[in-house]
Amino acid sequence: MRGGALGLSGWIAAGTLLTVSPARPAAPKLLVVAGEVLVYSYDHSQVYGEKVSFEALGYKIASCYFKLDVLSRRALAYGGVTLAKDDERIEADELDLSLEGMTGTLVRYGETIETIPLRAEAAPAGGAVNAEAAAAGGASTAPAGVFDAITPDAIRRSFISFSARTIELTPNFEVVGTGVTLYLEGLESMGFKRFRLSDGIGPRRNGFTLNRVWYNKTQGLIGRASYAVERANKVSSLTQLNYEERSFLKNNYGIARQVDLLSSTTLTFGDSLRAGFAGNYNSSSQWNVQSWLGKTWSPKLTTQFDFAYNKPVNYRGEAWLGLQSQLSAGRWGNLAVQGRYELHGQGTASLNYGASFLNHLSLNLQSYYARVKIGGSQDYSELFTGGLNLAYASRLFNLATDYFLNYDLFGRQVLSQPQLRIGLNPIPLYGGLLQLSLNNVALYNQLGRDDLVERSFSDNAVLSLGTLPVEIARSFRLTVNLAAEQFLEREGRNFTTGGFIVNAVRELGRGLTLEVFYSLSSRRRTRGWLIEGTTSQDLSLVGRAALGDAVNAWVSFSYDAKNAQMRQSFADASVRIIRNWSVHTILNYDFFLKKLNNVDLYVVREAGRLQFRLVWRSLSRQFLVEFAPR
Amino acid sequence: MRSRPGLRTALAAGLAVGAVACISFDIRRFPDPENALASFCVCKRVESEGELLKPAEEKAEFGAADERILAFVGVRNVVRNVRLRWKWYDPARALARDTGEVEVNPEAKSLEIVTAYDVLTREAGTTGVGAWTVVLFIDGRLAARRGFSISGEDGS
Repeated sequence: MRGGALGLSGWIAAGTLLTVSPARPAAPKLLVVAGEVLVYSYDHSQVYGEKVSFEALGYKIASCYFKLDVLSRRALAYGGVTLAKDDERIEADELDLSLEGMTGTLVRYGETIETIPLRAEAAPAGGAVNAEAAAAGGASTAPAGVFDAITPDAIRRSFISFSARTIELTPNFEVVGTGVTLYLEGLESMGFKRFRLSDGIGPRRNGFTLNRVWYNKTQGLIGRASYAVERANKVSSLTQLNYEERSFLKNNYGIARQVDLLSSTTLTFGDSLRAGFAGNYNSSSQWNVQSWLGKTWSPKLTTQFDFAYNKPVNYRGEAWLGLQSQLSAGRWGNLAVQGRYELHGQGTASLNYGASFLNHLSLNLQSYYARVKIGGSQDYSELFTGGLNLAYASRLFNLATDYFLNYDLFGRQVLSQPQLRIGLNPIPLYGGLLQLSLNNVALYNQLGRDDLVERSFSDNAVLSLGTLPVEIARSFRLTVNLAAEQFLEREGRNFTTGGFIVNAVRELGRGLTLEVFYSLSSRRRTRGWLIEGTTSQDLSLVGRAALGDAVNAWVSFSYDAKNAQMRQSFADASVRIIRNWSVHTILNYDFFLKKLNNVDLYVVREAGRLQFRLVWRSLSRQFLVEFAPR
Repeated sequence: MRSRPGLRTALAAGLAVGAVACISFDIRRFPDPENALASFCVCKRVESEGELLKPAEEKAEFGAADERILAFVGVRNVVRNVRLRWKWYDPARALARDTGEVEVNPEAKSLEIVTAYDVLTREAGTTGVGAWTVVLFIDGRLAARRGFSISGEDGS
């Protein structure tokens, strides 16, 4: 039953993506295209047309073919293009339109490529011009790449596509069709007199919008509404109201209804001063408000003041005043400071500084102080942490020293931890066939609590030697890596570890490979006169198949060579079927328990900006239908 | 006996599918555009595929050593005489080659697809290095445009 519910949710999600809301007839239009053939791909936000006519740049324009790419905001009319205005008539082979700013370039393919720049409500700027003049005037022939992908076949292959009698493009780049037929996988589905084919990508509309009213048997009645105010470079405000009514549901054990109100407003006063207000209210009696003022003193220095009040459920509200500032001082580094104070005595402060010197040295400094209440009590925890990192990197080696301090002022506990890291950059040997590297980390810990001081230190050194893949025979490569590690510490739990990994790859044919990994690792520890230790081995076999876009799969088997038993098997396979549909599965088999641990099965339709998925998960016994934007 | 809602739902769904299966729908296909252009690309050579040709080594960048550059076209649903014309423009945007009108299917047979190509022949070397354009006209109207470049280096 759960799977069914989730499946229903999936379809609802799909419903929200394809919001069926009538477009406002009074909305201004950037372009209205009519044509004998007009098709729109929802997957790719692209239009293709034939024998089209439209008005732009003050002309009535007709052409044999038409392409529009909403995302790049470009359109191309080509094949017998005619522009008419009063008695004026211009013919060309191509008209490339930039919809932002509404400029165009007419192109004729004669003895030369002749380009004529056009601007909105203006005659051709200077008539025919040559290439250099066009470039100097800002007009350019658009690269064909944007439009090459727009073909009738590509739109027909879309998961969701539409045909329409006319297609309108609003200034917000919203696409609206009239006389619309919806096609799913190229098959006719539904017809609409007028239909919003795609959400706009421009700014929000001002005013009230009822975003969604929905009912389902698990969530009840759901309503979403919003109110937006947009004034370019002055005000940006959005208030959203979410309402859920569950009181009439048969099996409702939770709250009867819930209301969420979210509001955010940003005011811009010139280039250097901005202010904002945000408030959230939830019907479970929690709410918060925040206001802020941001000032840009110069490109290098910014400051922000803020005030916030937060009222959590069952706790007293807190009012915080804050200040944060950032200074970018170029070669002198970057400094950020932040401080917040709460009216009941709580506070936090932080300072961060980072700089690079002399090409090879870098310095980072962080410190943080916090005094905050412990739960609902009257006690405060007080904490100070600090960190300093100084690093030197050269071609041969890198050296870094860190210092970390954690001072718990409430628990009277101080942790002090300096460390030193040194590493030899990989050294190529025998013409790069072998690579040698060495790293060492030395760590000192001092923990002080009241009069008690605990000290510890450790040192860990790792030496590794690896080969590049060596071609042993045709289609057969071998890689070997050796590593040794020595760990020393004050408590005497010292150990030495050594091991190696062998990786052999055999190419069996086009796109088929077989890989074998063998690893052996041994750890030895001395305790007084006793030497104890463990050895582990692992042998894995991996088969891979990569046959273009059609098949991409691998399967692995893991074998415990020490105990002579099979362990696990994993498989991951993706197979393309038809029309951008593919099947993908992930399997895991446990040889020890002799059972299939997990099977995930996906049927996926790649649809440009969307992905449609049918998912089966054996572990949770879930069947999901997902319509995910990408 | 306990109620089996899952079974009932499945049975109802099965009956519904059965009932729907008895109803025939007039499923209209996606609109058929008149645009007969199936493909237009720039390539180094063509290969035979039965009676047709197919482009091989499609690319947009050619090297100084490439003496032949092909513009391949596939036109489908040809039921009448069709006129094709290729025009090649050099980096100075001047017409470098014009095939004139080439008649295809003068007997007006019904052909599912017609493939053809034109060759730009150039001397190996750095002549004509830069951005080129090739355009295709079908029946006197611009049907496609492709850009490609020739570099001064041996790109093969």
